[in-house]
Amino acid sequence: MKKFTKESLKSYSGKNGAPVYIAANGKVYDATNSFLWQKGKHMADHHAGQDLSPALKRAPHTAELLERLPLIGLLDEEK
Amino acid sequence: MARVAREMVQNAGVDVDQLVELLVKNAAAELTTFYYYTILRANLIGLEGEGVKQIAETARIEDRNHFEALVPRIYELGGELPKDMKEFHDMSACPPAILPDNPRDVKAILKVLVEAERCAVRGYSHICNLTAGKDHRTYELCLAILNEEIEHESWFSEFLGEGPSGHFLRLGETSPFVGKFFK
Repeated sequence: MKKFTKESLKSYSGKNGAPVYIAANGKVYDATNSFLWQKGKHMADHHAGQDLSPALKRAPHTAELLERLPLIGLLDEEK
Repeated sequence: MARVAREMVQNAGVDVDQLVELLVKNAAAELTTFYYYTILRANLIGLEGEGVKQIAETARIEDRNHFEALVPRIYELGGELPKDMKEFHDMSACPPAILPDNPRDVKAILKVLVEAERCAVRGYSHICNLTAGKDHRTYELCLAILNEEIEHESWFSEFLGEGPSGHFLRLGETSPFVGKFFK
């Protein structure tokens, strides 16, 4: 499975036609085709190309909803 | 815009622009749901479907009421609805509740309905969390909507056999919680 760093993840922000990748709990998901992640933005204040683990703790949903997205890699949380 | 009302919310520490965006997205979810539920309701036919039709209709009307109740608050806080209906549809806080490929599959329709309601429950819980103790009017409005969305989820969940919810279909007027905001 492909490995990402926080730095390499930044290029998948959904801006300028880039794919929409999001990370949480060490996993990287492809949200490019998700209605709720259009243009790399979700619910007014979450942006793609980032590790959203801290935001997920405050979200009104668990990681269960992310599991519906294609899992495409793992995030090296140290880098 | 209600200038002082907005100032009060801002001074309480709420990001008002972000809040308005969330309210517009949820208003879009309500109006688009009203549209999509119209199609779902029309297809709830036959021995199985007719039993679900009345609660689908109640949820449909109450979602439209939620849209009506949200709009004044959006403008009070300095926001506005998009001029373009297509843009409004695409910014919805919830995915479209599209009729399943097999429109005679009542269970598949129920899954669409319950997912739509669960999305709404998450959305209004989030807004309540953001506004509790800070923006009293938005909080009270979204709490009222949340109360109705939870009942909608319960109705459809019961039909899917997920267990008893303790709720019963509406016996009186629609929108017992939200009615005071648009009457």
